[in-house]
Amino acid sequence: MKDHYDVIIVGAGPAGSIAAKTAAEHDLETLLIEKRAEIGNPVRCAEGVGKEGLKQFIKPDKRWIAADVKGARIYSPGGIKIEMSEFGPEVGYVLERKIFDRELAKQAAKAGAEVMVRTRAIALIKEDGFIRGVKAENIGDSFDIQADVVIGADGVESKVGRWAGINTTLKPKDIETCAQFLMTDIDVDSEYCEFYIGNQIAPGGYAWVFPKGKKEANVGLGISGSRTKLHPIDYLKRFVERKYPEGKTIEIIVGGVPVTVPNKTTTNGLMLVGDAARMSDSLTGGGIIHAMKSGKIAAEVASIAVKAGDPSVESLNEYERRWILEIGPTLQKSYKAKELLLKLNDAEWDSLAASIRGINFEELTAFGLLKELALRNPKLLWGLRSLL
Amino acid sequence: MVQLNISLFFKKLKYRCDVLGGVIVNKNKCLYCGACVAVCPVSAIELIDTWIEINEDCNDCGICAKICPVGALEELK
Ligand SMILES: Cc1cc2nc3c(=O)[nH]c(=O)nc-3n(C[C@H](O)[C@H](O)[C@H](O)COP(=O)(O)OP(=O)(O)OC[C@H]3O[C@@H](n4cnc5c(N)ncnc54)[C@H](O)[C@@H]3O)c2cc1C
Ligand code: SF4
Ligand code: SF4
Repeated sequence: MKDHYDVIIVGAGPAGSIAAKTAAEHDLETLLIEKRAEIGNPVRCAEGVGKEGLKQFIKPDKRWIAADVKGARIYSPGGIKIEMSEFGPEVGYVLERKIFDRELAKQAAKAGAEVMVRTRAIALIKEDGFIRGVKAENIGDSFDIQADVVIGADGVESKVGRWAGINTTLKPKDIETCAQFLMTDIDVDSEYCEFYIGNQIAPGGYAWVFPKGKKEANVGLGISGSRTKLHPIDYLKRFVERKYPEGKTIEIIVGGVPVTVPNKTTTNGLMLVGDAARMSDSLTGGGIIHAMKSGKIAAEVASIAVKAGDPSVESLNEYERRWILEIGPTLQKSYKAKELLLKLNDAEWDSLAASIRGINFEELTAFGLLKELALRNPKLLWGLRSLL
Repeated sequence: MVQLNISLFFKKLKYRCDVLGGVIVNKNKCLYCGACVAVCPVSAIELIDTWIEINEDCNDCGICAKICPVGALEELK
């Protein structure tokens, strides 16, 4: 370890590892620190990812692909089934994220980044209104590491932004709180992801079954943080008792997904990426691709800033401009849609589902689905019309 | 010396308050996911590795307890 780097990245999830890889490829002296002892473990994810989005960053490899998914089935509270084949970017593969996240970190290392695990950022170094590095702790030792640019990729529990004065605190209504069982010895269709909607099943969210092979699946659900009469784990136990009474759980996963839109993502010497910047999609809860996209852009901008010797917020705002261009409109639309859909009751969901029974979708994405719903239910989904 | 003792006294007092009126973590339930950290309005929670720590900034708002996916946080009334 040196005492100065061009760029330090805090957190080795998809956002951080792609940022580190990209920075190293741009010949920056790069350090990636991760507080966990083992990158990627525990997983906090249902592991569904769109093929198109993924391929922009990494060549698919069967070592970290658990299932190749052709479509999605969505069930309304009353059991009406909507089937979408060749469903768009929300599904495609179900990953094995323990291996996937580790592979991304390895690629960062291979590109020339230094990687340190069991190393937790505990504060930022600030000088003259600039972030100039991090204070870190590694197995009991604490030390300062200077950097021209710090990238906060520290996920949902991010502190980096708050230490820098950017308020990333989530309101209860802007977080989905989730629980998931990895279940084995159950009958699943290994080519379809399933979604279950209903205020009895998962108030303000949905339940999912994402296959990981023929007899295994991630069975989980997320509920709105503003609707937590029961804990997610209790809703999940109820769901699973009914759906897979014979199934065996070999792993329990819990976590929170930010369902909001990013606040500020830059300040002097600092950029926030991925979940730390609150970039997961409010409608689907998917965050892997946005994490990787933002990580890559941030590193590219860091490279320009470091080489020009100007890590000021004005210079780093190029990052903000570029991520807004790429994913800003999607994040905004998804957030508005989420706010609206949160208000629907079960009878309304059923009538929505009935209105599109058996139709062919033009655009096989979550937005494509919403568009069809809004067209056929202008009264109920009046608020959506401006989004489509 | 006197100053030191006073600060110690207040620390102890604060500790008593935490136990009497704050939030406690059930370590047997917590699955160290970090959701509570994200919603704490005063940034009082830290996810260290496989455990969380709540510092004296906690104002007993109870939001974290409502958000926790497994109910590992309990508000003490
Ligand atoms: C239950 C659940 C299901 C989900 N399902 C999906 C899905 O199917 N598809 C999808 O696309 N997305 C899904 N998501 C969202 C997805 O998991 C996240 O959006 C994604 O992991 C974000 O990547 P990231 O790199 O920004 O953060 P993370 O993957 O969270 O990585 C952050 C890293 O930073 C480390 N870190 C934190 N603080 C520090 C510190 N102080 N010092 C050092 N290191 C630190 C953490 O240990 C962690 O390794 C799901 C989330 C949950 C909770
Ligand atoms: S939200 Fe609950 S399970 Fe997650 S870290 Fe906090 S106390 Fe632990
Ligand atoms: S009770 Fe409120 S202030 Fe205290 S730790 Fe929980 S969220 Fe933070």
